[in-house]
Amino acid sequence: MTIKGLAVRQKPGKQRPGKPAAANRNNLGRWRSHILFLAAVLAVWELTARFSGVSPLLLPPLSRVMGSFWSDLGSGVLGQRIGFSLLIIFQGVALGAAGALLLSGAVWSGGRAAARVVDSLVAFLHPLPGIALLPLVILWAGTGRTAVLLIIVHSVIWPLTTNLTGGIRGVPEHLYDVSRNYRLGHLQMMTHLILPSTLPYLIAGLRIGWARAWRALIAAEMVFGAAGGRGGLGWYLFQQRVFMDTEGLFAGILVIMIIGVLFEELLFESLERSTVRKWGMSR
Amino acid sequence: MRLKDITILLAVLVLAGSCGGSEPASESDHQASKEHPSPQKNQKTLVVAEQYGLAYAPLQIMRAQGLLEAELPEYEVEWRRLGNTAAIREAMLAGRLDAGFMGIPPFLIGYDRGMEWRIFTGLSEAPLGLVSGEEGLRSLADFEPDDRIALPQPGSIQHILLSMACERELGQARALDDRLVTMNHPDGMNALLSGRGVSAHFTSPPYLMEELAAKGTHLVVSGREAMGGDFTFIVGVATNSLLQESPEAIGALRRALAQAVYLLENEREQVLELLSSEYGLEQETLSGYLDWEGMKYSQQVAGVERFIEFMRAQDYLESSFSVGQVLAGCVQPQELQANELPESKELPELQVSGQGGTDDD
Repeated sequence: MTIKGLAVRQKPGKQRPGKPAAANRNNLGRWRSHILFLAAVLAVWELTARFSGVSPLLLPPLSRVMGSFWSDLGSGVLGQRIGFSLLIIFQGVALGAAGALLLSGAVWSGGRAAARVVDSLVAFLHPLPGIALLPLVILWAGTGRTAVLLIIVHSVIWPLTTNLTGGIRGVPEHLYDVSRNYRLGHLQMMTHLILPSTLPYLIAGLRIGWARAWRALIAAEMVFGAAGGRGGLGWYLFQQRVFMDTEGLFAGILVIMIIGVLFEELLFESLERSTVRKWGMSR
Repeated sequence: MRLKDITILLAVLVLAGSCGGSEPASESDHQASKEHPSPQKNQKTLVVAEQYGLAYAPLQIMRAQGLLEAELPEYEVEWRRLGNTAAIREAMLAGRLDAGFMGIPPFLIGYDRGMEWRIFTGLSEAPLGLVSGEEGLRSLADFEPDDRIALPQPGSIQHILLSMACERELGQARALDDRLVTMNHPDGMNALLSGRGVSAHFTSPPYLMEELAAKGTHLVVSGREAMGGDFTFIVGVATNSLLQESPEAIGALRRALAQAVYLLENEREQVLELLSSEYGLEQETLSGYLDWEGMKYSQQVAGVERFIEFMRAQDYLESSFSVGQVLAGCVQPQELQANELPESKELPELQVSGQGGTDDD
């Protein structure tokens, strides 16, 4: 580290968080610790694998994992698996979010009875892991894409609904009073009051939904190979397992981790930064 | 570097240090448990894994009758039932198992990837086959892209047989690989018979018989047709360390197996009683299944060569090796001469298993 680098870094560190410069700096800092952490883990991994005498079937050296990663990327297999996974997760999250919006819309406008129904739905279905439903879903919808999609929607819709209804209930009563004083209509109240004030909840819910969707996808594919041979990363992992390709297994896990970090940082962080944090609703 | 960075580095190092420290230790623990008896009991342990299915029947008899325990009084015998071959392979790799029973292809894949293990006995030949519930699916060429085929897992004997059939009938071994759905046999049967989910199921006894007995199902291709000959379905596999260091355990396993097969053939009533509760089948039905054409319990190992050849040609195996390298004193019909081990007294082409059992005692 140069002295200059230190000097630059120390100064914004003293700034109050929340200001744009500091936020940016925090962001950079987080990336830096991610990368540093990763580099350290990888170095230790390579050294352990090479010099500890552990069987490469249990812990292959990083260099071989990367070899497997590049060759599967080059042959297009990995790209296809990633594409399938991302597409089905986007669809699942979109459908789940639409469902959750409808349900929480019903809670907002439908009065007490609707709220009770939605509450019971969430109470019964939210704790149910998607994978537990899979045998049933396969009976109803057959194996294949639809089954996996249904499981993903299930794992997205309930946490998102919980978050959204929580957000709607959290809108302070006096803001309703104010908007009524302004004689805002139903729609205007929705766009001017409810949506902005529930946005932090929506983003938090999407984050949870996104993570749940991944879990559901990987689990469904690994337990049942439900999407079959044209599946996503879960099928990829499963295939590496049954053919005892430990390098490939590690490569698959790395890909899932990297995708997770990228989306967290690029999508959710920037979404939060450009909305709720900019508006001062959360930090 | 900032304090935070250093903390992260330290955390990683500590974490790695603790893992690194425990790995060799656990390995040597494992060695120790094998070489030396466990400290308190002064007893060696033998951990054997089986799976579920009619092809494993001798193991269930062996277990219920305590045949192996009787042959190996100085050992503590532990039985594990695992759900699939991948799990057996992983447990063996982790040093938790000494011997296991599985299909030949998953064994070969493990051997190919560097697992130190060999086949020490055959267990059974069985009719396998691809069953469909859809009238239009009479041959592999009839399968449309939407038709799903259930089987235990890629790389399983069912999958390799399907690939063989595909190569034979469609000219391309991997032609149907993107239509596979992995299900264990009971789930696969339910999916097939409920008519939702899968168009066909590559399965083994007793599920094969149950599916074929159901209405509107038919056999698309049998394992024998796919293979182009007879083959051993399930073999017994042991780690090299067990084979080298505990030949008495291997001998006992073979003798107990021979006795179990003898019981299967000669004490039918007793065996039926035992197995019918195990498989939840009527005794009469079960008896029919045991007499089904192609159902045969024997310590012979057949078909390894053909599997190696095919799997090597189709890149399921990365390295080349010979039958002799993967077998540890097994009897092979035709392919090799019988060797010096006790079982070699048996005449391979006869129904010898029972005699083997009495001879060896």
